[in-house]
Amino acid sequence: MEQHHRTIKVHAGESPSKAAVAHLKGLLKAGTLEAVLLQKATADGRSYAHVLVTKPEELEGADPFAPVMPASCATALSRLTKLEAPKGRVGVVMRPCEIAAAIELTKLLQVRLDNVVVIGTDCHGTMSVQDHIRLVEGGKDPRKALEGDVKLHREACRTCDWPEPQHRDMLLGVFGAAGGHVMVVAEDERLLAGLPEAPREAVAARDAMVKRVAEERAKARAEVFHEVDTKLQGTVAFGAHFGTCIVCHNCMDQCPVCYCNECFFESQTFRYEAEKMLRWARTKGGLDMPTDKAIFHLGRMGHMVATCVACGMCTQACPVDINVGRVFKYVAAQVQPMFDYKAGRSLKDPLPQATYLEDELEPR
Amino acid sequence: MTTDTKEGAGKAATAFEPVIVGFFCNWCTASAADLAGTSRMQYPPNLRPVRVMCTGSVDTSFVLRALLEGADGVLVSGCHPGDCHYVSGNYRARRRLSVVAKTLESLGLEPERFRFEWISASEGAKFAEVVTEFTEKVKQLGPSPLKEL
Repeated sequence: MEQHHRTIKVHAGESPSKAAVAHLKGLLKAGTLEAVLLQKATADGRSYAHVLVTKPEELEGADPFAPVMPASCATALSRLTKLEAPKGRVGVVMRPCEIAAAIELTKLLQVRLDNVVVIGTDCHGTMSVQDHIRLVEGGKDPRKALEGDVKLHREACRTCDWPEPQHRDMLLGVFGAAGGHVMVVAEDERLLAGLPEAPREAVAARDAMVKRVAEERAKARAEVFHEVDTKLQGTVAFGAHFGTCIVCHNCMDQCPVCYCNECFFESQTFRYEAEKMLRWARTKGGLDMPTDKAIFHLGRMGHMVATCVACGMCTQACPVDINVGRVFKYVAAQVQPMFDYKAGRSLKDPLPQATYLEDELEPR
Repeated sequence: MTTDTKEGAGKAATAFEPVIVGFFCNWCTASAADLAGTSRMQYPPNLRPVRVMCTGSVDTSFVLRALLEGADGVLVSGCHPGDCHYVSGNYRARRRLSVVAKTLESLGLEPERFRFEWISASEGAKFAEVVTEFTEKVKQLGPSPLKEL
């Protein structure tokens, strides 16, 4: 079916967020959507949290383009749809990496996409929650700061694999619009609610920006990968990188694709008698407590890196500021091509660990 | 086990006896090990074999656990392609364990200390050969730094 390109004009003094929210309000009012799941500013204005909204007026303060991503919307979507698909249509506003995670979760049977209207957004990148709070408390506008300073972007965003949202039912596009309009692209006319046709130049401007953003991020990605390739090699470097880990498992909790209800690394397998630990302490020349730092990170890679979408929620969740995502993203980029797989690319590609080919890999 | 690592490199090279942990499929390699034994074939005593019902039951963390807690090398061996007692366990193991191998390789964590082989129940000679060869290789690599992590 044909994709229709429409625009919402952003009036002077208004923001693209406000214009997009007005459109979503209209969809709720018209009954096109029964509910919308998206980010909304917290009461104190210091951050954003996901909220499931059914009343148009409750969309006040919501923001499809929030400059901060405390948690992946794919996690919220999994909570919403795991037990049953909603009866009415629910619009779920997601960034490209969140859609990628939702694709993986769908294949892992943790998300049902029936009656879910995926509303993909153009993402300028996000900053860490900590930076956002710091800026708000310092009286600064986080969004302006984010535009002016690429260093403020989370590394996962700077090096993002997803220049534009795939697998969406509707796009809320802001690339190439310079804040003048929001582009709405969808097949379903009901989602477009009679919006005016987008001028051809606007479509071209967006395409150009998508291309430019993809190039910039690919360059940044190559730089970061080179950094891992040259500096984060060997046991000493690995030990140092994860040295401050307190084994809290937040990275695993917040990882959208790490879905097991009962994580192996939290099982009784990792509880030991004192004597056993004392023996390790003797042979290892001191035992890190809590134990099992290295096996947690390396083992988690073994379990989920084939479906890692590189959203960086692990890094965001880390209370001791370890760049977990850098390592996972790098390893994922080495592992996934082995299976000709790219996490989040397609609903059709089978999960690497759920299938096999007779003639592949080593040994043959 | 790890006391060797504190010794001088030259001395360790001659005195070092690696610990090799093997995960062997019940239906093939474990029998091959028996066959090698009953046929009185010689292979190094460094091996600590663990019988598993299928290589498909070897989680990535088994390999990591062994390497992190004292093994200098890990050998996983199962049935040749097409011969799995559970139809596809060995193919699945190959996918799963290649993730671990690639992870170790990507981070420079000595992937050569991990080896995956197909050894059928009748291949006693191959079993002895693989164990000998792998033990020699790990000896040359020296004590694993992974157990210090």
